[in-house]
Amino acid sequence: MANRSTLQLVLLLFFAYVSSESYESLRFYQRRTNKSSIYLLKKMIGELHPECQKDRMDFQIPKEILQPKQYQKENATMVIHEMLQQIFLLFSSKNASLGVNNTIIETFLNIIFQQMEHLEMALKEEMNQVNSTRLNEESIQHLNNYYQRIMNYLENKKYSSCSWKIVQVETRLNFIFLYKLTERLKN
Amino acid sequence: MPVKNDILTMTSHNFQHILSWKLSSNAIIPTHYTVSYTIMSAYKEWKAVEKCTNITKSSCNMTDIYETNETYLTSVTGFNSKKKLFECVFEFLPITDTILDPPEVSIFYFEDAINVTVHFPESLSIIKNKEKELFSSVVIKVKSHDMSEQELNIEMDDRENVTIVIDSLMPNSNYCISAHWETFSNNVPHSPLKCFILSPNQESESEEIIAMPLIFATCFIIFPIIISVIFLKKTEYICKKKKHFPKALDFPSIIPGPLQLPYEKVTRADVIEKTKKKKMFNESDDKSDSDNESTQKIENNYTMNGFSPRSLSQNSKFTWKEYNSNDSDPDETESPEFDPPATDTDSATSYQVKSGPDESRICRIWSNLSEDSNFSSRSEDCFNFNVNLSTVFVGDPGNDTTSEEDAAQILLPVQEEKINLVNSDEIELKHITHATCVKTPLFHVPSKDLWSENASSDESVTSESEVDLGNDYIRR
Repeated sequence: MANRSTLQLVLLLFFAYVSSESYESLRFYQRRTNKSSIYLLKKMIGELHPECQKDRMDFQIPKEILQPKQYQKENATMVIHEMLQQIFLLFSSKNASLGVNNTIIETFLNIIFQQMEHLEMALKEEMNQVNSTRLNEESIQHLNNYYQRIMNYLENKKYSSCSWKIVQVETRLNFIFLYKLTERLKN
Repeated sequence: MPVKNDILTMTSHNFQHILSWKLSSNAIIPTHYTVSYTIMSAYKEWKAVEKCTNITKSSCNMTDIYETNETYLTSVTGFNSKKKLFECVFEFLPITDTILDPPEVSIFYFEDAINVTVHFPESLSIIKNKEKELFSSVVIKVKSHDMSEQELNIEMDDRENVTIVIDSLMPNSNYCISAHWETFSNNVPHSPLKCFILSPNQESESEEIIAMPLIFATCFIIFPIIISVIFLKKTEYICKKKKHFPKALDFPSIIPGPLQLPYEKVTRADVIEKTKKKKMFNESDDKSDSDNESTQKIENNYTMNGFSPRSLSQNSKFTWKEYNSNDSDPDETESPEFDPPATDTDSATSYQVKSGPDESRICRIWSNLSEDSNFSSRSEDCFNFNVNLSTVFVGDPGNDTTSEEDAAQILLPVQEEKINLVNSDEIELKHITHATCVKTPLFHVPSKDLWSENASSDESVTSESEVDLGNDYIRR
């Protein structure tokens, strides 16, 4: 009995050490990739034409994104993964590269994909730990609704260049909050 | 690089936003300007900046208008009366477009490693608490001599400063260090390059620390030297003050010959060793002849205006020998002589005192010192001696009334180097160390009798003026 509890304690400490090391490397990696993504989005946006002002839209970004300080590092990881996944789907839709160099779009998507892989490895370790916390279902629903609104907007605007400009501006704001969310990954 | 087009320029530094505009000289210059703005995240109307509505100046401070994470569209409209002459619009996102001051770096380097300390500049003291995520990480760039670069990440973790050690560097190599914030900002200035050369057996300091050894050197080297100089000056070990002695004590360095006051005659004094003579008188009746002879000689010397120290016995330490300047003494040819003064004491003899078993000489002692006379010391073989007045009786040899008893009182003490003219019965004189060969010692008057004897003597030294050299010295 004593030997079993000791083994569990050792495993717990081992996973905690591994996860702390992985979170540090994850934070380092996420910081770099988010920085690159913001740069690429600025490239996509370019010079905003004044005529696109009429297509401005309030997508009502959820508080789960606006208030990153509320999260512990485990929940922050899940939120980051959910956001990256939705953005990946968004920029994989129709006419995403309209008026934009296609190379920029492909690079942007590759970075997001690699970010998600790193996050999934960290999430798997979280799933294996005892007493792991999961993100609230309501919070996930809020995030899903938000990105659905963006998708519907693009569809309504028929994936026009100005609509994409507006979406690119909104996505850039997403990555600014993602950058801040990444800082929650530190111990 | 500030955000600008042909007309507008947004200068944003540490989230301080200054919008300015300038028209070409060919254009018609508007009389008034109005600045307006709107956001991109919502469909909202343009809003005029209150402080920048119908202004005549060509700039507007937008610091209080912009929020950090919002993307703005800003418009500047130029008017001439009510006619719009131009309108410019530009996009601006403060968090990515502002220019932040780079971190400050301090370096302390050793032989093959360096300590790098990163800390916040003063200009970011307020901003760093509002946008912490922008300052969470610092990138240190190390450029080596072969133009290769190495980047290191430092996590600030809400600390004011962080120090890292970069080791495994090559000695005798040139390295340059710079640092910048790792943020998603479009413009990330680097700190000024700090270059150094790693040398073996060298522990060098950064420019901030190098001042410390100088401070220690000042405190522990220069201050003690200054204190020592002041102390030596106070004790007059150096920079001796010129003491103003009475003129009588102002002995010149060169004594050409016997001392002589032009206005005084030279008086000889017989100096006889006192203690030994007493013994001689008590014990050696056998030697009475020689003693008597010497005594007689002494007496004769009184009249002869000369004196000769008398040896007490053969066993005495001093061996006196009378030396006459007119006589030739082969044993004493090496001894230097002094020219006798040009007085009526032509027959005066000069003697020098010399310690040891050798023949000794007695230097002549003049009682008076000429203030103007130049003295030169040729007494290489002479010793300076002091006459102990307590053992001698100083009297005028010309005075016949000098009693035998008084004469017996004049004795030379048994001393090798110093003969003190001291009257042990009455007053003890300080030892005079000056050479008596060339300088006039200062006699002490042991009793009133001496004065009376001197005064009545025709051959006594008469002085037109008294030389008052203090209470311990003779008044003439």
